[in-house]
Amino acid sequence: MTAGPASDPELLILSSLAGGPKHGYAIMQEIAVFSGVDLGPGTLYTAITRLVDEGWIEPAEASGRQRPYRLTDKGLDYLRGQLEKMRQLASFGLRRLRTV
Amino acid sequence: MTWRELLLRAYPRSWRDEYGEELAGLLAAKRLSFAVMADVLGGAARQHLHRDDPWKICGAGLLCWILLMKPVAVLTHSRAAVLWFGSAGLLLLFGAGAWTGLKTRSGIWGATRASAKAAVFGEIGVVLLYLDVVRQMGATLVQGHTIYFWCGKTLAVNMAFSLVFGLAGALASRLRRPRTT
Repeated sequence: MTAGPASDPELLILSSLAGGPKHGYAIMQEIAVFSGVDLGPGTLYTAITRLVDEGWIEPAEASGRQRPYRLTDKGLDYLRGQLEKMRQLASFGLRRLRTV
Repeated sequence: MTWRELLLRAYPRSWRDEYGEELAGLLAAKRLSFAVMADVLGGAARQHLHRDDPWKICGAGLLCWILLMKPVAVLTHSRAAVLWFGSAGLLLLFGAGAWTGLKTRSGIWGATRASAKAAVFGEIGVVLLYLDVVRQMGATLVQGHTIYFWCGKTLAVNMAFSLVFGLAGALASRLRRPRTT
């Protein structure tokens, strides 16, 4: 896994859930596809536990053994704020790189 | 019991009740490589740190620390090394008091009591070490007293030290905590 803000498990999970409710395995698979980060089950559920505790995601209706999670309004605001900060940082860094 | 069940058991019970079945489903779908096992055990350790009482973590740490004292004594043949090693274990009791004080609103007495509970946990290790000494030395007299007397005396001294270090930790936690009016 590459270290850095783009590989933060919590942000990756929130980004995945922005597309709609998903259960753990589906989140893990989607993250591997869109970011190339292979989250382990322990890391995934540590992050999910924290996100639930913070009130950024919540469990949806269970379907069988796996319970899907969905973004809360608070989680949506947090994700938006974090992505905006990353966008600002990225555009600043790219501007600086053009002068090198 | 399978490896997957054992890995799940590494998590705190309260966490398992909430997320255990989901993690079990996920583990069933994954190949159990060394990296996956390490990742799951790391997650379990983080949940224990997050959910367990500080005295349980410090007590378990102290127990392991004390049980390591015998190999240290055997390998180093040095009484000083064992003393240093044993003294460093007291820091865990300081930590139990300070951590409880910071994490909860239990006050000085509550934090000291938590530290004492960690000390009792650690004393299990001391008793095991003494049982080994008694097994080897029997009722040999040391400076006019049996080995049982010395074991009892050191246990009492250990507990007294534990209380002092726990109280110090509890007091230290008050320095970090914002005053409430």
